[in-house]
Amino acid sequence: MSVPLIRFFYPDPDPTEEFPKESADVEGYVLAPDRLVTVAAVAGTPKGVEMLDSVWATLRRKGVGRRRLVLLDDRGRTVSVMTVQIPDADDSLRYLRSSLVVPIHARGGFAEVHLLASPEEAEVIAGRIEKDGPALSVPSEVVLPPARETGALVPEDWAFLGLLSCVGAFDGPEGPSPELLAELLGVDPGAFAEKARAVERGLGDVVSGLFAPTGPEAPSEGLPP
Amino acid sequence: MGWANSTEVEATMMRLVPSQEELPSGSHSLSFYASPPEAARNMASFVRGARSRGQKALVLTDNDRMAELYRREISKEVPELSDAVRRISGPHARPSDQGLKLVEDATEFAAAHPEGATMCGDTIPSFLDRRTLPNILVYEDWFDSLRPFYHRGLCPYDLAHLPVDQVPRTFARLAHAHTHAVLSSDPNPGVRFLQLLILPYVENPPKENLGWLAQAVEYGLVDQERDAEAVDLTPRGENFARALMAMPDLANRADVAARNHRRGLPERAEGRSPRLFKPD
Repeated sequence: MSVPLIRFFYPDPDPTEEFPKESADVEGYVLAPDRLVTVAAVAGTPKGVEMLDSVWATLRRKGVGRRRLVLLDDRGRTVSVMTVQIPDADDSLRYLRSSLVVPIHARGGFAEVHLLASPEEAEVIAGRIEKDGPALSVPSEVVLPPARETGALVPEDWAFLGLLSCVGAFDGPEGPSPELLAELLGVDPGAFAEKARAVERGLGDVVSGLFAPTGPEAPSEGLPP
Repeated sequence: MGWANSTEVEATMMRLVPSQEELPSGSHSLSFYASPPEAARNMASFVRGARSRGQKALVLTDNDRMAELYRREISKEVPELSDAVRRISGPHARPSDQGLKLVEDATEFAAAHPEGATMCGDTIPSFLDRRTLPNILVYEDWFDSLRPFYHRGLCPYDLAHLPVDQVPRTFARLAHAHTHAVLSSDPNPGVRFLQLLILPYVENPPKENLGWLAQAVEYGLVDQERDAEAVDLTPRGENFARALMAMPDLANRADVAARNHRRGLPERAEGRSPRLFKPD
């Protein structure tokens, strides 16, 4: 569904006000206890960076922004990692963690949100968004997920991988330490290690499915598998 | 320069072969690896192919450790060619007015063996990054334009250090500029996954691997337009590849951090200064 962003920023928007045309992408998120959500948003242009700054200022003004870190990724893009606390988010988060597909492209004042959900679930989620945010000007619709969902990893796990990727966690010792990653995500190092192991197991399951035998043919010409 | 005007190779599309030893005279080949020991085994296999063709061999490297590994492996396989390894200072492809070009060590060796020689420079992976990649691809095009020749030329690429998001386009370009390729046999699933992306550009893709590529498309990890040759990684596929390459290491380090935290040990100092993090 396409979510207009302007009402997130301005409760009574001036209709003449033009929302920036620049874009940013939410490439990952992670949910932590105490209704904390950490979101990694990436901007590829200076105007996009300004937009992310504006987003953060708004979150702070609304009293939900808890902390933010900013970094440059290996492509020279600015990554804004924002942790927000959503006061009455338990139900919304329960839906989102099983359905929200990243990346989310925000462009020209709209976020293009893809959900892995039934039409009924999508309507509930749209209702939740409307409750505290903008009225959806575009009717919600289910955007189909990849043709064959892998099962072993749920959307929340893919979002976790997206966040880790954005912040350079897969760069080895040159990337942020596990301690810093845990702090960034609002959990203790033990909880972070547990989550990392769980996702690693899920990746193993996806790999098993991906490289399962696809037919009677043996690997040809002695080439490596 | 010794780039003799004849060849065994008349391939129009890059061909996969099972080992570096089998690369024919006249070939300009890719060789993928994912660890230094695998790179050394590959090099020994390549040099073994020189013996069966009666060719001299030259292996240029700027890395002492790799020079030692190559000599050790080559000594096991083809002791008479263990002096093929030559340590050079810096890359074997260096900037010139016309872009990157081969160092004299290579051009002189080729000129000295117009009947054909087995030659490899291994330094590209050590300076390949997002910034240098475009020039490297132009260099590969230039080198391929030197064919036909009698030589066997090998270009090793380290799959563990290619910028993941650049892999699809890089493979397409590299396949266009090489006659043969030998895939890595590293069992890391990230390596296996990335190597699926070269299949659309080879003449003889293994059927089973094509099946896995089709599954990767179904999983939403790879984009492949119907009837289109090109493939690309989806954002999910990029994260998947990075995670497969690095998640075991990250999880191990996370376990250590968790144990230290439980024992009340201080955080590692270097962990506090990752790339350009700054508090708001």
